[in-house]
Amino acid sequence: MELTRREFIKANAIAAAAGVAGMSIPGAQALAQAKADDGLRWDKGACRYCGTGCSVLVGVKDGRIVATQGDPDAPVNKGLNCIKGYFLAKIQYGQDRLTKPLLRMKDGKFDKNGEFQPISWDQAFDIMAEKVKQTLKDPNQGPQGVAMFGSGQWTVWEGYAAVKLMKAGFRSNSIDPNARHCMASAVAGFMRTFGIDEPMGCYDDAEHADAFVLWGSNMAEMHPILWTRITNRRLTADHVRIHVLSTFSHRSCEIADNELIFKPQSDLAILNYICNYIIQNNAVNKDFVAKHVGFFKGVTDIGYGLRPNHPLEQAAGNNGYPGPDGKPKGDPNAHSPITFEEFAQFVSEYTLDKAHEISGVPKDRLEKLAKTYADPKTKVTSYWTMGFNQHTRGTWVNNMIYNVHLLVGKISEPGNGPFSLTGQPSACGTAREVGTFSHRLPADMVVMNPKHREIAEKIWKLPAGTINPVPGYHAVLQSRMAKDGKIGFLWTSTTNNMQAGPNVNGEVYPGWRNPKCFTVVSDVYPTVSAMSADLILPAAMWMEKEGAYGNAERRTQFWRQQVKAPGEARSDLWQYLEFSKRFKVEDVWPADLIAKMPEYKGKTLYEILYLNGQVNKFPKEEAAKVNAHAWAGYTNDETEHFGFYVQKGLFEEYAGFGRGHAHDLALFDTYHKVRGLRWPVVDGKETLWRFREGYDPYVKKGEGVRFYGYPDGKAKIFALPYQPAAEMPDNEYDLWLCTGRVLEHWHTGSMTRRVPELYRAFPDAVVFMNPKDAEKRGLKRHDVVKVATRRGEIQLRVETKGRNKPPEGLIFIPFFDEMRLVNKLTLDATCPISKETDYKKCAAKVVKV
Amino acid sequence: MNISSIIVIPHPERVAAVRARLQTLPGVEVHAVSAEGKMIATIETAGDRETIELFESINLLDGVMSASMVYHQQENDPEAPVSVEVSPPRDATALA
Amino acid sequence: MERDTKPKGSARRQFLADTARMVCGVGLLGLGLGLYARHATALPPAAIRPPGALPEKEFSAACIRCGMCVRDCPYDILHLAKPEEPMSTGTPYFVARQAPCEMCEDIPCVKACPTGALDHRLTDITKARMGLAVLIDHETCLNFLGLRCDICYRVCPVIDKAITLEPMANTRTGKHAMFIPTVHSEACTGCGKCEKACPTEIAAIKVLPIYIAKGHLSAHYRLGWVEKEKAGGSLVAPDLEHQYNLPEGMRYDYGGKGLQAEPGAPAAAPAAPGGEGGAVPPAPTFKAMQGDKL
Repeated sequence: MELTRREFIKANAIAAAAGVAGMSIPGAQALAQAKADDGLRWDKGACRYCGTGCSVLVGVKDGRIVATQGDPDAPVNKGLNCIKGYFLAKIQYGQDRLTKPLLRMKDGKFDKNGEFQPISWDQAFDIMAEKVKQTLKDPNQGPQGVAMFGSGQWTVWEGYAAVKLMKAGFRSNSIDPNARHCMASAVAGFMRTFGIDEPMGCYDDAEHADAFVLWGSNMAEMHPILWTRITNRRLTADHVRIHVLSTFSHRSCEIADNELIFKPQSDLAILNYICNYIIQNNAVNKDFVAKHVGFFKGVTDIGYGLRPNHPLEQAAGNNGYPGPDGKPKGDPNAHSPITFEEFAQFVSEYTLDKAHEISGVPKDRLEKLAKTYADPKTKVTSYWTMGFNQHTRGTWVNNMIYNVHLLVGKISEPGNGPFSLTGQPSACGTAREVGTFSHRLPADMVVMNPKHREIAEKIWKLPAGTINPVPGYHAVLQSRMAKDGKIGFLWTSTTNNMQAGPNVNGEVYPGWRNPKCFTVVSDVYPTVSAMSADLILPAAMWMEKEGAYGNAERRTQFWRQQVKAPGEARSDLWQYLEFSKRFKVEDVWPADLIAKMPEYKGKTLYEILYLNGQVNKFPKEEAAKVNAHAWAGYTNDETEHFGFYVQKGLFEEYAGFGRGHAHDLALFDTYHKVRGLRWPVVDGKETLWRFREGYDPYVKKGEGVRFYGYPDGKAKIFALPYQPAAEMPDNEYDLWLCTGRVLEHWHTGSMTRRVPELYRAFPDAVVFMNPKDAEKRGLKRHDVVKVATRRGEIQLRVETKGRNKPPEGLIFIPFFDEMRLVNKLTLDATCPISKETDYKKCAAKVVKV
Repeated sequence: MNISSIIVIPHPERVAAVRARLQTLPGVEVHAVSAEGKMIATIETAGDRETIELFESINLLDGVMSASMVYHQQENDPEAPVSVEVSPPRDATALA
Repeated sequence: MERDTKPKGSARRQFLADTARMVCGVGLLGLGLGLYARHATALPPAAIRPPGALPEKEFSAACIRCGMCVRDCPYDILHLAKPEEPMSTGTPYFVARQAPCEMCEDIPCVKACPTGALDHRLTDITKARMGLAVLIDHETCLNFLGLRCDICYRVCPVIDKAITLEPMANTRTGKHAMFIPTVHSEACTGCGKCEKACPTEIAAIKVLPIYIAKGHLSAHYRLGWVEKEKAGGSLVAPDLEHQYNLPEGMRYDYGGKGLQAEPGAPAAAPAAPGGEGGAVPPAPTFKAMQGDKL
């Protein structure tokens, strides 16, 4: 109700007088004590932010989310939320929601240098289709030049619809999620060691472990609710110990019993030292190792994922890049069998002295950590996130933590295990399980494997040979290829790569603005990425669409569409399906391929991919039927628009890839009736610990443990050395620069910075710096400084106190602030195996302004 | 500007006359009259002095037994919008 | 004069005297209603209004400074504000650390109030909300240091409702529990007994006016476990029964403790290498820690 202040004051004045006079004046008194009438409709959902996967209940009134609460019945969070989750009700309602497609135009026509003007969806799809067709025909570009960049924030069916459109429709593998920046190294690590992706344990490890080791993970801020479980375990069980390894001191160190601040990159040496300690002290679980483990030596000299003309790549012998003869120079993933003795010999050089010398960590702390792993009586759970994954040896370091757990057999049972945490709500559910990477297909399959392609083509009812056998452009390569004119059409959604991608100045921005590349951004707010695009599409978000996310412990969670998107905003799912109607199969497939399935002649991609009898199997009415237990007459926007229960059709077709192959998902209907289930779900039962008899239905009676990702049932231990980082501090750029997050903001802040309370809590990025480093440069706390690297510079204020305490020689800058883009500074060096960028290490200098 | 509320107790036989007279005074509005004749009125004036003067003149009106001031507030921007859809609990605003 | 009925008369005289003072002020001191209004909004935090006082703005408008409540307080704890004190002159208050409210069952101060500035609907003194006790200094509270003081808890007239003791592990000693005094706003009357009794040089627990002491959750977020209790069950459709792949001798408690050994089953979880065999002793419930620290 809107009043003037005069009217409002009068109402108060009258109410006060009425109170004194003992009179009743209902209108004025009611106004003076106006109270919100409840009457909200509550329904279950999953939090929009990190990979913890807290469940929330969402309260809707008059078509708007007005309240949320932590779900008291959810096993992950039992009614709790972090401060970002506390403000979930507000993230959809920023003042600047995008509600119309916007195209850069001059004189009524598209112009790369024009100004954004509103257009219709029809016009938007017209120009997009034109650009895709042009790219397909361009001899310099071709199918792989049609690229898509998504994220672990896509719902499961959006990611699945996108993969199908790209890999089956356009026959391009150039689709990648921003999860490439986030946990590609974890994926590569799992695949190399176990032959199958995702953690064997679950969050229940937190209540069963005797020791926790955090490797490059600040859970206190990044996984706040999970951290309360670990803290509680530490508080309530006296013998429990927490070890925290990091390159700087942070909030998680507060309750650490053993804090190990190591020099960047030296985690490789520490891990080899622990293996050496275990072997030297006869702590190897010999029986376990003999039965369940094989030993391998990986190739070294694998480069740093930089451009091929970089001196480091020219010198590398195994980076897989084309050599002078045009043939690939080795394969960074190659490895060959060795014996246990050879492995023992390999790590024997990593003595306590050497580990101390390389890492700078006091010897007693290193030894304490090694003992924890070696002690057969101590159950250890190791957690890691970006400290491991964003690493030029990210795949190695993932392999090497498994080395430690496998040597002592502490894996795949309650309280014992290595656990890779994720940063996005569906990094596992969508990016990994659906396989939205440039080399992947659903259920851990890859495009390079002819058998896998055959399976996918069969399920998708495609002629043999439809799927391109060559991996497409991954995240970092997309920027480089756009800059080099090899990508003609780039469509990004649910992510903000102009802020989150590495080396924005050198690669991402020049790529997107290259006249040869038409860049489309689907987003909900005008992010830095949206403003750098040629065409902006307004997207629906979170509760404005029916969704499914998969969290870090393999838990798949569903929610129903709660409210409508504003204006002409549409879900990504709607966008992909509608766009597919714009292509006749003749526009995108060669004649010989169509000839294998003449019945597809003249059909659209929409008909071939989505009206295939599977995706459109469930009629519109099914939506109400499936959800009748919770919501009478339920339906959603896509179901109404396309005339069938799109989400169910896509999910059931997708689930067909994994069922019976250790990736079993439950039935679609079931997920709408539960607070998430951990896969594999076999006979209605979820799986808590994989690879262990009794807990995992894929391990047969009598086998005890079986790492069934590999045919021989054995996991791999890798001999891999310590190697230096791609760029290290020198005389001019004399500091390590590390980037990351803060609790208050999620990733690039496009949602959290629009919540006034969260914005106020941490408005602008600062550079965290050791007080001595500041003093040396004549800097005081809160001085404005210029932070520069070889790639760019930004200005921000110095913080020498507070939550993060870097050692001398290292600075930390969070990346949430679009006014201070720290990724103008970062180096686009990646792990050569996983292709994930190392955002944690490059050389920088700090100068007073 | 100043906004105040007052309780006016007229002589029981002169309720109608007092009410009519009050309504002719500039800035005065009568909002309620109880069964026994007690009235609640607001007075709006430009400043403190005017408030006191107006209040005193009401007190001295024929037929008024007593007038007491209950609530008083100064407001610099009376036309500013205010939204009262969800009001915080009263304690939180008691001194706001 | 027929206008001056008895109690109203004195009240009115008091008010007119105030008014006259203010009118003088306009002329002589350049003050006026503006100052009056400012005073009304500047109640110092240590000054607590008597039971039943209306919210401060309404109270200082409705109170006619007659002094009847002060006169009728049997323990003489109430004072009238003097002109030099930073609050509306002539209005009543008390200071808990000097003399707290004794919570008379017949509430004579309220009965004495002629205007309703002290709300006559207050007939049960335990429903009074004069202020709210706040354990304001964790660093000096003896119980927070692990000592056993609990005085505030024990002097509380609404003991076990307004103040409870919540056990928490003492991580320093590793052997003892700490008992954290926890104030519950739904029961605290703000009488100030705890502040008066706090044995430290300066009280670690203080009564503050509610507008200072109490936070308020925004309407956009609800506490899931509270809403569930209020509704008498889940707000949304119940889950199907959860089932798990488990070895023999183990069960999984969905709503509670998670993985558990079946009672009577062989002690060790499969291949659990010692430690404490997976069975964690039941932790006490930490009401005070839920939702804030953890």
